[in-house]
Amino acid sequence: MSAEKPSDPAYDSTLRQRNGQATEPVSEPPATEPRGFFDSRTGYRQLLRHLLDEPVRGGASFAYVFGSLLLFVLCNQALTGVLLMAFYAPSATDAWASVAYIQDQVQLGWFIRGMHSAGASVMMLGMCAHMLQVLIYGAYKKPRELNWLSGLFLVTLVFGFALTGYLLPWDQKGYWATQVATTLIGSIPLCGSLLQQLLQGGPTYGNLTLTHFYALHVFVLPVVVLVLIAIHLWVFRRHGVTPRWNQSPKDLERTAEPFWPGQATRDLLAIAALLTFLAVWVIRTHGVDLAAPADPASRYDARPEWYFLPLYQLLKYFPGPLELLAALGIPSLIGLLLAALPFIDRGESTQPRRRLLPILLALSVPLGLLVLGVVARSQDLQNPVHIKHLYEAHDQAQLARRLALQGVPVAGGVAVYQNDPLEQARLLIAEHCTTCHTVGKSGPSEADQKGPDLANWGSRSWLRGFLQNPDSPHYYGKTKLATTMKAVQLAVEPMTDLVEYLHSLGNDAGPRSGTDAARIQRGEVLFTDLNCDICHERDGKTPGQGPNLGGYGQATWIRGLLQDPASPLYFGEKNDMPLFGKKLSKTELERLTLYLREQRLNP
Amino acid sequence: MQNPERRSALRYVGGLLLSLIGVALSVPTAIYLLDPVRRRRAAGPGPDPGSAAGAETTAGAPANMEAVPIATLAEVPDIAQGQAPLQVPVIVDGQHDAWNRLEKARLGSVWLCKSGERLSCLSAVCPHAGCGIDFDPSRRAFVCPCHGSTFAMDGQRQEGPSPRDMDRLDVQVQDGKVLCRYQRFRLATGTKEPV
Repeated sequence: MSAEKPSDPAYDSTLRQRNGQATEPVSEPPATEPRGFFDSRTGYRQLLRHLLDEPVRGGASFAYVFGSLLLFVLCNQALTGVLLMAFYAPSATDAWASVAYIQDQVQLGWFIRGMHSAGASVMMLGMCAHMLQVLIYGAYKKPRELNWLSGLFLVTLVFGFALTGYLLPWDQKGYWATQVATTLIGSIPLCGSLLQQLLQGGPTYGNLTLTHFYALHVFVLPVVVLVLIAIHLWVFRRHGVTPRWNQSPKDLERTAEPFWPGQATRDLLAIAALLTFLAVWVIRTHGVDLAAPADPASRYDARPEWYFLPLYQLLKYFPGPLELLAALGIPSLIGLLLAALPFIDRGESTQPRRRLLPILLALSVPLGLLVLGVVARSQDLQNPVHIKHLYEAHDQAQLARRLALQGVPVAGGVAVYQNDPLEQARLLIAEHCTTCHTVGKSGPSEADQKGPDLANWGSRSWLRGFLQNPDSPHYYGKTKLATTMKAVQLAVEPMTDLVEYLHSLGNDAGPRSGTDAARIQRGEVLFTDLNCDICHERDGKTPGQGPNLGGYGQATWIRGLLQDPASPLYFGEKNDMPLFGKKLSKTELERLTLYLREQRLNP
Repeated sequence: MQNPERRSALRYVGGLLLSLIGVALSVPTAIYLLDPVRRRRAAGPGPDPGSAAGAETTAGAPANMEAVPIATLAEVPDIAQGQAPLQVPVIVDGQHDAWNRLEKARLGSVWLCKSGERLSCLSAVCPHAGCGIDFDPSRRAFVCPCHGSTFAMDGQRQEGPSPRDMDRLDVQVQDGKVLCRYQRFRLATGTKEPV
C-alpha cells in the first residue's frame, strides 16, 4: 500500500469515480430528468450519491459490516433510550417506580427496556468484533491512526454509557454496583474526592446522583459520541476500507464497487440478522430483570454487568491501596498500549503473518478479560451463600414489583412495601393492639399489658405454652379470663397430639386435612377425654363456658373475634377487648386477620 | 465489476431489508407510545400477594368518579342571603398517577353554594380554555381571569369566549356532608362531554 505518498490512492479513486468512471444509473439521474422541487433547493440527491457511491476497493465483503452494525446498535440505543425517557423520572423517589411501571405495566415496555439493555451488551460484543477485524486487516495502520484513536475513545465512552445507565433504575443492583465505581473514583489521589462528589452530586447518593448520571447518560455522552462518530466516519471515508492483504492495488481498483447496493445490502443483511437475534433474545428472556428498589439500609451482593466482571475480578487480587492500580491503572495501561499500536507497528504490510506479535499481544487483552470474567462467574456459582442471596434478592424483587402494580406511594421506591397487607397489618397492630398486647419484644410495659402475646399467636409453640400455663402473663393471666381454665397436665407425646389437633382446627379445609392424621385423631380423643368439650363447643354456633373452637384459627374465626370478642361464641362476659368491628374498617380487619393467620404458621 | 442484473436485484433486496428493519423498529415503538392513550384504570391494581381474593383491591370505577365529601352542609353559603359562593378543593385518596398511588390528591376545585334548599356545585374549570374561574363579589358573577368569560351565579354563560355554561357537577348530601362526584369535561366544545 502506497499510503506514504502525499496523495492517497483511496482518495484518488474516489475522485476518479466521481468523474464518471464507475457510476450507476440509479445514483446518477439522467440529464433529462427534472431535478424536482426539493433537489433544486437542497441538492439532497448529490448528498445521497456522495453517501451511497463511496467506492469499496476490492469489492463488498461481509468483513466490513461491523462498523455499520455498531452504528445500527447506536441507533437502537438512541431510539429505545428516547422511548424510555418518555416514561422515566430521574429522581430517587420516582426512578424505581417509573422503571417498574415501564417493565410491568406499559405495553411492550419490557421489550423496549430489554432491547435497550441487550443493545448495550451487543454493543460491547460488536466493539470487540469490530476491533478484531481492524486488527487482523491491519486497518489501524498509517494513515488510519486517527480512525483507530477515535474508535478507542468511542469504546471508553460506551463504557461511560454502561456505567451511568446501570444506576438509572435505582434498583438494588444498580445502586450497590455503582457505589463500587464511584468509591473507586473517590480513591484517586488528590482530586478523587472532589471528582466523586461532582459526579454523584454530593457526598452520598441521592436525587442529585440520579440527575447527574441522567444528564451524562442522555445528553453529554451522546453529544460527545456523535462528534466522535462524525470524526470516525469522516476519516474513514477519507481513507476507505482496508481491503484484504492478498490483493494488488491494481486488482483492488479493478474490483472496486460503490457502497450501494453491494456493501449496503450486506450491511443491511447483517443488521437484520442482528435485530432478529436481539428481538428473539429479549422475547425469550422477557427483557432484562429489575431488582428490588434501592435500599441503603439493606445488604446486597453487588455484581456489575458481565462486561465489567473482569474489572470486578481484578479488584479481588489487589488489596488495599493497590486497588486503584487494578481498577484504573491496568485498564488505562491497556488503553494506552492499544492507542500506541499504530505507532509501534509501523511496517507497511497488512499481511497478518508478518504482524503476529502485535496481533497476539492485542488478542491477549480480550482473552485475558474473558478468563477473568469466567473466573468471576464460576467463583460466584460455587459460592452457596451468594446463590442463596441471589434467590432472596429475586424473591424480594418479585414482591416489590407485584406490590408496585397497586401504585407506589409518593414516598418512593422502598415505600412500595407499605402496599404489602402484612406490612400494613404490622402498622395497624402497632397502632391498635400494642397498647394491651405484647408482640414479641414490642408492646406495652409489663404493668400496662392486658392481653396475651400476639407473636406466633395460634402456632404450635404458642398453643403448647398456653395449654401448659394459661394463666401466665404471656397468655391470659392478665385478663378477666384468668383462672377460668385449668392448665393441661400431659406428657410430651399426648400434649403434642392435642396441640396438633387444636392447630389443625385452623386449617382452611378443617382438622381432617392435617398432614399427621393419626396424631390429630389422638388429639381429638384427648380433647374429649380431658373434658375440654364441656366448656368449648366446636360447631361454631353454640355458646359455651369458653370460646367456641369451631374453625379456631381460621380467617372467619379470627375476623369474628376481632369484630365482637364479647360475643358468647368468644369471651362473652369475661371479655376485656374492645370491639374492633366498630373501630376498624373492613379492609383493616382483613389485614389484621391476615396477620394473625400468618402468626399461626410459625413453628 | 458485477453484472448489472445482479446489481439491480441487490437493490431490491437492499430496499426490502431497509423497509423491514424500519417496520420492525417502528411497530413496537408505536405500540409502546400509545400505551397512555389505551390505558384505562378500570381494572384497578392486581391481586395482593398473600391476601385472600384480593381483599386490598380498590377496583371499580376510577377514584374521580366516586362521590367524595367536599364540605359540611353547614359550611355551604346561601346566595339567596347575599353570601358569596365557596371555592372548595376536591381531595381524594387512592388516585393513580402513572406509577404513583396518591393519598390526598387534589383533583381540582368547585364553586359551592345553595339558594334556599337547592345546592349548586360548579366546576371551577373554565369550559373555554381550562383556566380557573374566579368569583367577583362586586359584580356577583363568576369571571374567568384569562379571557374574560363571565357567568351568572347559576353558571349560565353571560359574555366572553366560553362556548358553554359552567359545568355543573353532581352533589348529594349524606350525614350532613356534601358529596361531589368530580369530573372533568372536554374543553372548547359547545356540549358537556366527560373526558
